[in-house]
Formats: sequence, C-alpha cells, structure tokens
Amino acid sequence: MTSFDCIVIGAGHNGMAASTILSKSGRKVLLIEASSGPGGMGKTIEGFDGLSMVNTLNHLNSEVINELELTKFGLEQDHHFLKTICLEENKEKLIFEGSYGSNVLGIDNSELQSWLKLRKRLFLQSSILKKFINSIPIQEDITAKEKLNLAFSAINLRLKGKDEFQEFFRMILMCIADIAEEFLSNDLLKGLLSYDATLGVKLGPRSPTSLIGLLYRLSGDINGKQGVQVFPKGGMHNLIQCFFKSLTKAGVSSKFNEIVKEIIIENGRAVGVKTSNGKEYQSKTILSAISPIVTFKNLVGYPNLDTGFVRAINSSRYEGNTSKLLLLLNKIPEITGIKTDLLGSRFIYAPSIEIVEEGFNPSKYNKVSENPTFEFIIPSCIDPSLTPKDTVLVSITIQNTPYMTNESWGKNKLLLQKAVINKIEKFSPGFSKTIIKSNFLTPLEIEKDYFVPGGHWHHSELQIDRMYSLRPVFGFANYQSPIENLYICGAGTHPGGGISGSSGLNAARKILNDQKGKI
Amino acid sequence: MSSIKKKEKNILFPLFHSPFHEQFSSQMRGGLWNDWGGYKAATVVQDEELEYFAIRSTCSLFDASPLIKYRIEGPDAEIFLNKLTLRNVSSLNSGKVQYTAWCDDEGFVLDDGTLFKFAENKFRLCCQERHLPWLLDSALGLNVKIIDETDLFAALSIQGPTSAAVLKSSGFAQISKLEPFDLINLPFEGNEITISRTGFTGDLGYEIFLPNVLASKLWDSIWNTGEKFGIRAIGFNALNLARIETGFIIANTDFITSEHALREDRKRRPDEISLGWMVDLNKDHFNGKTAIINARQNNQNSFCSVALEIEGKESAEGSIIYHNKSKEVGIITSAAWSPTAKKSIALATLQNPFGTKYKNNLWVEIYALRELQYHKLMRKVTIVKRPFVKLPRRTMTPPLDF
Repeated sequence: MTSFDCIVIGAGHNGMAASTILSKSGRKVLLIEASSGPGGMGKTIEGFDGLSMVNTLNHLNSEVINELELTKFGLEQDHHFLKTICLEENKEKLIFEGSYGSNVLGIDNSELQSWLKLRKRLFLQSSILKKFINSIPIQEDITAKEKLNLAFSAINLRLKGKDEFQEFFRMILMCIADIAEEFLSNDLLKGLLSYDATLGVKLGPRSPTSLIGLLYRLSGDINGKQGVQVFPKGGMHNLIQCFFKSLTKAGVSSKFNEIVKEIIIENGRAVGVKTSNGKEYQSKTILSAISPIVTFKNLVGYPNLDTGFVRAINSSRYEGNTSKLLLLLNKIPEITGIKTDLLGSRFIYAPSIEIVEEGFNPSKYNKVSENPTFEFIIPSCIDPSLTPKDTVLVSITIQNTPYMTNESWGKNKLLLQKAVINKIEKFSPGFSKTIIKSNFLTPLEIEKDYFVPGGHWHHSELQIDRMYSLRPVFGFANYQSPIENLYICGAGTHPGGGISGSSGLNAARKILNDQKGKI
Repeated sequence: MSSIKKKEKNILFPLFHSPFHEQFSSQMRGGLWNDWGGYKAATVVQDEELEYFAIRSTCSLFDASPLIKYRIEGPDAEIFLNKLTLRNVSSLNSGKVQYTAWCDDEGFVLDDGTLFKFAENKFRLCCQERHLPWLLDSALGLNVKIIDETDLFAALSIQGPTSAAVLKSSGFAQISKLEPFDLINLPFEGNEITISRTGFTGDLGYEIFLPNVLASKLWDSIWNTGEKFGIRAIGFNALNLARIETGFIIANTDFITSEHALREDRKRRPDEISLGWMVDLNKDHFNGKTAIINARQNNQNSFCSVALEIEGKESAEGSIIYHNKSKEVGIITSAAWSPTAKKSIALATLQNPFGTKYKNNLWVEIYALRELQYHKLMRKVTIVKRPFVKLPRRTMTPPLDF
C-alpha cells in the first residue's frame, strides 16, 4: 500500500487547485480521477475539440491564479469579453455591452436610465455578497475576527446610505420578476435578467428568492472587472491545462481512470481510499472534490455517519435542470441583423419573463418545454484557432430540462433539440442545414459522463437554503466533514459551481490551518 | 351509518383502548386514568397503597401495552442497532434483553428503552416515545426492516414475589429457568407469546408480550390462577413508586429528551443522566459517538444525575437543591417516601461540579403544606448508590415460590 500526506478525489479545477496548494506546502499529494483526463466539467468533450460542458467564466478567483501561478503556466489574461445579444422574432435586438450591461443598445434612453439605476443597485448588493462568497463560511464556533468582519460588512452597507441599506434587505429574498417589473419595461431586458437569475437552479423568475441567483452571478469578477462573462483565451481547454501544468510542477502525483470506491475509515478517522482496480492508498488527510452526495452516501457510507447528518445530506436536491447541446457546423452561421464582428457574442433566447416562466413550468412536472429558453455561443467566431478550417463549433445551453430516465426522455430529447434548432433557424435561416454533428447532453448524460449524481451543474441546488453556512449542510460548510481527516470541496460546497477555484482554495487553506504547519 | 357510529365512539373515547382495557376498567374504582402515548392508561385502579404493596408483597399486573414496540429484522439488523444505540449489540446473545439508550448527532439522549433479541438479526425495541422516522433514517444504506408493532402486540407486566409462582401455575413452567434479562418464546392458545424476566420495579417479575387477540385469554388464565397468590391489577402510581425505589429514570420526567426539549440547555447527554456506562466507545460509529467523546474531552457535561436520601419524612418532589443552603445547584426530578426503605428518597439533576466533586453540604428546600400553611424546611441530603431498595429475590434463579 502506498502512503501519502494527502489524497484528493476528483481532478476538477477545484481538486486541482487544492492539490497544488497542498503539494506546495510540502505535502506528498495524490490526485485520483475517475475519467481519463483532468478538468471535470471543464474537460474537452470528445469529438468537439475546443468545447467542454462549461465554456465561459464569470469568476476566476484571482487568489487561485496567484497561488497556482497560472499566468506562469500559460494563462493569458486578455480574455474575450462576451456581449449578450437578446433575440426575438420581429423585435429589435437588444445588445448588452460592457460588464453586464454598462451600456445597452436597442432600448430608448429612459429605459436605459432605469436599467442603469437597477444595475447600480444590483452591483452594490453583489459587492456586499462577494465578501461572503469568497471566504470560508462562518460556523457555530464563530471567531472574534469573523464577527468583526460581519460587523464591518454591515457597516459598509449602512455607509452606502439608509436607502441602499433598506433596499438590500427588501430585495434580497425577492423574485427576479418582481424586481425587473418594478424597474423596467423592456421585455427582452426583463427576460434576460430572468434567464440569468434562474439558469442552473430549479427556480422560475416568479419563484421567491430567484433574485439571489443574479446577485451571485454579478458578484464574480475577472481581472477585477465585476459582472463580466468571458470566453477564456485559448478556450476552457487551455485554462484546464494551466491548472494541470501548475499541479504537475508542484509535484502532485495524479492517477486517471481510477474510481475511488471507498474511503477507508478506522476509529472514526479517514485513513485511506480503495479504488476500482483494487488498489488501496493510505493518507493522513483526504479531500473529496466530488459531489458531497457521492462522498457521503457511496464512499463513506451512511452507516458511518450520524443520522441527523445523513438526513441533511440525503435531502439535498441534486437533480440537474440544464442541458448542453453541442453542434459542429460546416460554415459560420449568419444571424439576421448581426454584423460578423458581433458573432463572438452570447446569444440568448429568453424574450420575456413570461416565456422564461412558461419554460420553467413543465420542468416542475418532469416535462419538456415546447418553447425552451436557451443561450449559445459560437467559439469558432471568438477564437478561430480552436477548430480546423471549415468547421464551426456552437455550444448551446438549454434551461429547464428536467432530470429524467432515458425512457422518460424518449422522443422528448429529439423534440427539444428540434425546438431549439428551429428557433435558431428563425434568427439564422439555413442554420440547420449546416449541422454536421451534434451531441445533446441532458442531466442524465451529464450524470454518467461526469460522475455527478443528478447531473447538476452545482452538484446540488444552489438556493438560499443551501448557500453559505448551509452548503452542503449546516455545521459542515467550512469544508470539514463529520469524519476526522476527511475534508470536502467542489461545486457541492460553498460557493457552488462555475470555474472559480474558490472552494478548492478555501478547503486547502482550511486543511493547512487545521494542521498548523504540521504535515 | 356505521361511519357516524364510529365517529361518535371516537368522540366519547378520544384515547385508544389497550387490549386489556375491559379487564382494567371493570376493576376500576375512582376513574383515575391518564394519557400514555395516546392510550387510556390506569393511574390508580383501586387503591394506590394496596397496589404498591402488591408489587412488593404478592403479585401485581400492569398493562404495558402502550409501550412503543418496533420489530427490527434483516441481514443488517445488528449493524443497524449498533449504529443506533449506545451499547454494544454484538455482545447481546439471542434470548436476552438489553437496557439501552440512543442519541442524536450532538450526543443528546433521544430515549431509553429495552432491546429484545429473539434470534440472529431479529429484535424488538421497546421505548416510551415514537421514533419511526429516526429509525428509518438511521437505517439508510442498510438492509433492515423496521415495523411499528405497537398496535399489534399487547404487553402485560407481572411483578412481585409471587409472580413466578403465578406464571408457573398458569402453565408457563419454563420461566423458572429464566435469569434476569432472559427471554423465552412460549406457545399459548395455538400462538406464541414472549416472556422476559424484566420489569420496572426492581422486584422479581416478568413482562409478557403477546398478539392482541390473545389478551383476554391470557388475562383470564393468569388472573384465575393468581387469585390465590394475592394478584392485583395496578396503575401507574404504584409502579412509579416502585421504580423510584429502584432508581430507574423515566424520559421526560427525570430528563428531557432531545426531541422534546424546547430550550437548548435542557437536552442531556448519557453522562449527564447516569447512563454514561452504556456508551461503548470500542464499537464502530454510532449516533452521537463523536459528540460524546468531545463532550468528555472538553468537560462539556454540565449536569449529573444522582440518587438522594433526604432526612425527615417529607417527600421532596420538584424541590430545589442548594449547596451550603445558599447556592442553587439542582432540582429533584422524582421523589417519594419509600415504604420499603422507610426513607424519603429522590432522583435529582445537579449542576457539575456539585454531585461529582462536591458531594457534601447539599440541602433541599421543601415547602411542606401543613393545615393551610407552608413550612419551609431546609433538609440535608446525602448522595447514595442506586437502588434505594435492593431485593435478593430480583435476581435469584430459579426464583423462590413465595
């Protein structure tokens, strides 16, 4: 049996970030990954070189970039900033520019002023949340320093004025639809906010608390620019390679195609892991960067955990709700009324609050919408070097697609794909004829391909009852687990999914802090 | 029509009737009933004192049917019970009964009860409170079947010096070989009943579990034989006095269970209610293990449960305990004048270090009502070992015929 100071399960970007930091502290680290390569949901999808499940960034934690020295390993910071273009038949297109609509084309001046007023407020609220999103959540044993930080955040908010202070607490648990209607009148704009606030969670724009999804999104920053969305230079593939190079340089041993089947527990302590090919690895510390459900249900086993904790974990809602449709075209599509230089934007079909809500409704009953809301980017128009000549990649994200068995999906999968492509056809006549290849990943396929039960982007619902100190469950939001020496990170922990590296960084810091320099 | 009649019946009898209800209500004088887990249970059948002395001098019959009973079976039943409870179930042999308790994640006691092992991976768990959701959730990931059989099985507790003689004369001769905490399944009227040498009285006695349909037949058989052995149907009050003399605690009387406590500081860990001896840290993970270890290491157990003898003859129920007659350090949870020990006795909760480090100079303040005037008495208390009343006949095997 081989022995390590630390074993990290799962080579997603969080697992990689954590193993690199732990290895740099002088620890002997082993990283074990079930699939054939690193990256998790950032991994390149076979047959669609240059594309992965996640292709854009909202928030890459700058401390992760620094700690991992990602720039040294080829991360270029001049990312492609995505504009957002809202499409609807027979309507003027809405173009969202700058960092989340600092300028908007396609609306009149008074609407623009209303939007900028709302935007300012949303940005302010997000910046208050940002502090919490990046840090290790506070626990019952709150320290004096954490109390001070809380007080400081409250004072900071209060200093913005009485109105903003009150607005924060009035708005924070509201639904996005009410907020959008309160400030705005343009349907496309309201639809866009509704879509962005509810993408990736099982909420409609009229569901209470749906605003928080938007605040979460806006709290992110890339190179200090808040609220932007970028296509990373060289694609997600390049970013993942930077993580992996940094990890290799730091001396982490990594094993692929090896599935951890069991975390070995002796006297309540995690002491090692057993893998699918019968191997056992010993370790003083284990960090699981995969779904908390798998970690506790399958690897630790419920019988080894207190019933109250099992109840909390087992009641996590982790059925995915978002699908990916990847297309390979034989030529660059033309979008009516859009100049070629704007083809590198994010296109979105979510033309009103009603259509987003109506798209959400059937998903509650495990049905597929006839008029789904979706977004797409054309990476080949952003970085032509990603694909061979005469092929064009399109990555489509479809909202509100329920987690169902293959049987239930049945014809629905084809119907949904058709619905989306027919809709795009309306904006880009001839689009469907250019398709060479397609790959449709429903939550069920995401579950299988990425070893994430439910196929949820965030590993489990990222809603108010499972955020911050409540993520994944109350009492264990600080990356600790009930099992001594077993830690957790990844999308299922605070702050959730997306490529940011925050949870991996926080978990590694927690381990280093707990072990206080001792290895 | 029939449904209306049924509803009317429910209005007239809001509490369930136990399978022995007819037998007890026909003997009832005074109509003192209480609500035991939704069942109508006798507080006093005829005369509290005579009922107590039936326990200690002849033979008593107590209807224990409202006890919550869970059948626990399946390949992982033992693993499940080891995870659920504090004691080691692997060391419990078939045909044996274990007094045990179980805790939540924070190590606070959810309930105590008795675990009957019929055969490999075949158990019955009896307790005061209902716990099915907790049991089912504790069984996640295990192959075990848990059935609430409270309403399917009646229970009769026969306690007192002549109880063995009564059972033997009723055709259950095999019980004479039972040692304390043994159980045996015996045929009865073409069916099967379980008799265990257990009880809540600290006396020689047995508990009988039987399918509801056999209730009246078993009653008749025991009652007719028992008459010449001085048998008497008893209510809760007599049993309660006997159990205080034995030093047994009752959930939500002597401590507040974790699920019932509204105030965070009312919950108790096993070490705080004198059940620390049950905790087996050598076995694999069980609910609350980590929390119990941590509480021990960090001295977080702030209470202790003690047995007290109080000078004088007044009962000290609900009284406050003082150190040096001035500092409030605890409260009496159960108290009585013990007719057998001839002493005023009590069970109490004290705040550490009183009761553990400081055991002397403890006083109890009793408000004795004497002809419409309270006399405030400050009485010295002494911490003693349980039980207050120790009877050799409780453990003697085979039992003597009195």
